[in-house]
Amino acid sequence: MNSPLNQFILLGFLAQGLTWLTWGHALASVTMWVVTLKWLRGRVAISQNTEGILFLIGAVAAYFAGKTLNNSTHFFLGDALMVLQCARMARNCSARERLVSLLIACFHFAVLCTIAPNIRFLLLFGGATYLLPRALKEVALSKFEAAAHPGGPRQPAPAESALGWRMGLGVAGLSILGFLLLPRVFAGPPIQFRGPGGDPTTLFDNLLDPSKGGSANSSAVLLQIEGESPGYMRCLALTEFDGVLWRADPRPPLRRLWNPGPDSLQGQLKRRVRVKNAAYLGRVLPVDGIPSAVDGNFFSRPLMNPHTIVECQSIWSTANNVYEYWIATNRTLEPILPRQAQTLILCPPQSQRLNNWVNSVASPRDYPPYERARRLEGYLRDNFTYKLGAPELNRLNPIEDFVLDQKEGHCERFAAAMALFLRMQGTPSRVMIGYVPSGRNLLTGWHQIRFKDAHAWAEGWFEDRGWVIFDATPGGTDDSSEFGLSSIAEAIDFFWYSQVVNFDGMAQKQLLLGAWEWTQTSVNAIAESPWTSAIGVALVLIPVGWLLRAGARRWRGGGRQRPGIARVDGVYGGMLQAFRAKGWPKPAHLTPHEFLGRLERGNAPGFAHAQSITRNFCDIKYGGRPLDPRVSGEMEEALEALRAALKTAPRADP
Amino acid sequence: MSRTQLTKLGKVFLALAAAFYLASVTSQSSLLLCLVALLSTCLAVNLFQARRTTRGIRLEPPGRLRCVEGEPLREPWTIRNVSSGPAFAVTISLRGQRFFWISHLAAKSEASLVAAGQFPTRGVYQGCAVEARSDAPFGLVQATHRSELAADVVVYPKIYPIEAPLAAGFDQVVGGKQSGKHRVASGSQFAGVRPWINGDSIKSIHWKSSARGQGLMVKQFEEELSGRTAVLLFLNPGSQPARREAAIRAAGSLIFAGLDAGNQVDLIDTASMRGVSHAPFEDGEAILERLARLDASLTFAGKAGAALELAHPKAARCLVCAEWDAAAKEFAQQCAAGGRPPQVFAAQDGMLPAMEIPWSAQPGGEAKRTAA
Repeated sequence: MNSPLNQFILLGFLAQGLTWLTWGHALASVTMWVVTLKWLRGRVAISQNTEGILFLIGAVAAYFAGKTLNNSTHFFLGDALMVLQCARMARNCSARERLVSLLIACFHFAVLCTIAPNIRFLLLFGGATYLLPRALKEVALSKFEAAAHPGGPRQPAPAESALGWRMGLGVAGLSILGFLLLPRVFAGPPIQFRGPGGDPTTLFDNLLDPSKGGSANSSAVLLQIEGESPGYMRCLALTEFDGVLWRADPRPPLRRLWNPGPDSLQGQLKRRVRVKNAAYLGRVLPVDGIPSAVDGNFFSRPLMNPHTIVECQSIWSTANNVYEYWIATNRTLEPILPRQAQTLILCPPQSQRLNNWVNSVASPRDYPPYERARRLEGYLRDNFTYKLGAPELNRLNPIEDFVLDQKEGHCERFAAAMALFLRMQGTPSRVMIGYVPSGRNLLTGWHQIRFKDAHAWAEGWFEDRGWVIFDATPGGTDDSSEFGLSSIAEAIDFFWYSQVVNFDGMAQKQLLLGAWEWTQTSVNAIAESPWTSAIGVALVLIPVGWLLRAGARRWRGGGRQRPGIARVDGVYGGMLQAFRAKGWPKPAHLTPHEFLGRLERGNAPGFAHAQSITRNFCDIKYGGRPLDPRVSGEMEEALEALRAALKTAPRADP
Repeated sequence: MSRTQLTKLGKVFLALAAAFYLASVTSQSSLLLCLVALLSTCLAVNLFQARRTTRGIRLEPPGRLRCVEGEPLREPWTIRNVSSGPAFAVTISLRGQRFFWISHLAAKSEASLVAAGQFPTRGVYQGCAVEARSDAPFGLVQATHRSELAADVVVYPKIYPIEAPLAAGFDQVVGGKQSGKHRVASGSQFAGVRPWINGDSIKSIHWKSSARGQGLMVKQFEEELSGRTAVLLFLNPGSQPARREAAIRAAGSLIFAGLDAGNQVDLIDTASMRGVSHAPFEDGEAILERLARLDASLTFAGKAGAALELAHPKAARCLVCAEWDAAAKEFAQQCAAGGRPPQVFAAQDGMLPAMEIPWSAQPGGEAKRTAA
């Protein structure tokens, strides 16, 4: 278990377990590892043929387990490789087999890189940075020892096989530098609109009724918004109703959203939005209000349709997907075109029963349309029930079935019904789908939108008010602010995802340009005022240098103690503890040999073992005798024997 | 001079990193590049560390570099790590053969090690190529640093036990191991007394027996004789280098066998036409040194007469040839022309002792045997 190679294999197991996105699988992998090393190693003789059979059985079992548990079966090969790794850990392997095991662990880790790019990856990658060089070193040194002493017994890795702190830091630093500087090329397919684990075409179906989507009911953060009180973020407008379904206009007219420059945007409400994964947006930028300008770094040519949905010509992913938009607070009401108004009130004639119900709820008839609409909204909100996974509605008259019979459902049903009621009253309406910010991260101060914040609502157009939101869904959303560990974890997770996972060629270019500009600025500053700069640099460098030196000294001080000396200390300490328990405490002023003399004079039980331990301890700790695994093994055996001897011995008189 | 190259594992790692990089090209997550960067870093660190390790290793030979071919050097060498970092998994090779395996050597420290390698053939190795090689710490990149050994290594031929060659021209030599038929006035083996006759030295009087009243008696000793052998080393033109080495080995073995038998042995190199006479009491190491320095690339190109002139006229002739071919037979015939046919030995492959060619197989056959 102490072998870095085995530990790296464990890391591969964890990575493989996490590719299934379940902790249970990871736990099972760790259990396999522990069982193999603790109980099976050296006790089970596994031939290479058996290994092959186990590999096949593992592959088939993992494949069918994936199918049975309704999980992905793509990773069955990785699971089979885990079984192979276990089989090999159970016996002594040749240098070549050990190298193959190491490469398999790398493969497991690589799969994790593409499948689970979340903050857990960071922990595992830290482990890999620590363990991979050590595992490589262990394999290389044991191979060297085998070549130097052919036919001899397998040598344990020498104590010096641990990497120095400088090399450890070097590996970590160079890995980060390599990550930042490796040229980025993206030749994959363009970003596809996709939901969290679902079919792209059913993203909003899954989000709005998460009982269908499984993982769609996720608390994962999708967007972060900076700005005061963000409203309903629109993504999709359903404007055509055929009596059964609401559909979006397939080809709405689009107009270009120009960025008029900072001067003309002064006084407007500004929103700044960070997107964790642009793939979840499709080509739509969620906005609230009517944006007058949009700017950002991960899309081109923003366009707006008449329903104020902002779409882009193309979209990609960068290290930090950010867009900004400005909303005119004093914007005059924009009339809709008569043709558009005609379209937005179209609906098939509804049954007399539904008409009567609407009229009775929205009465009296002489009320202005807006008031009647509010009454309907209030009635739905107060008398209906919000329910996920409600039974399917009647396919011919779904809204009538919903309103008159079932009276429960998810937000999309309420929105659809409300929009229909508006049209029945002659008010142009549409169903809007998007997100409602539900909480605020107090650490960053940004409002957060999660997948579970997806929502549907209705909007009606009134001559004197313009487009008005009607959210008839009962319950509403909590605007709670969060602060705590989850808040910190989410902030880190968001940063990780946006800054590291999405670190692409453009972000790399920006980083390098930034570094270049900073260098130029620094050079110019130094050229302009050399003395001030020199003093400034000295003020920074001297304490940093001092700290580094002190740190290095401390590290070296720790390193001076030879590796493994702690083990010897531990054995001697165990001996003292055993004697103390039997009434033979070692006074602090006695040297180990003096204490040994006292034990001899007092005819202490297990004296021979104590003598062996003390001599080896003094030779190694103070005599500079080289550490030898054989000697430390002997000491441990002597300690065990001493404990056994003291167990039956009577307690000494004080 | 330094050289670095990827090991097999390094190539696999590079291919793996390239594969991951290609996979990252089609992946929207850049995390695969983390792994690529880590693998590349391991390669880079290995490159740096291996180069530093090999450049920092200094090999200091012992004061006296003498050994026998096929046997290790017995004196310890000092290996010093002058670099600021520890050295791991270093092998040091001389002339392409691994002599030292160093698992770990701390920074600025030294170790004394006995060479594990050996020089397979006799000779004087000047400015041997020393290669310090390391793929530490990860076994991905191997660095090799070449330098020259600042000392000559003299490798003696391996001497094996063999029957002493025939000797002739016996002279009386005190300490000679052959016993003569006569009694002489001086020697190391007391043989008895005889009555004094005119001319005997006073020093040779044996006073104890003379005191018995039978007149003056003088001491007598066993006659001690020492023969002479001329070992003619014949390196056949066109023979295999290994066979020539075997011939030198055989010549050395015959010389030592002859010296052990108490004979004076002349070694005549027919290629360089040089002859050296070795007395029985001569230092064996000087003989080995001479044998080590023989140039085996030269082959016989002259006439047997010129070579025979280098030998003592009374010495028995012992011809050691690399191969018993026509040239050797002709040389043997020329040697036999003076009525002193040589005893012929032909070298065998490897470390096998030289094979004596029977008289019957030599030109002249039985007549020669009788003459010998």
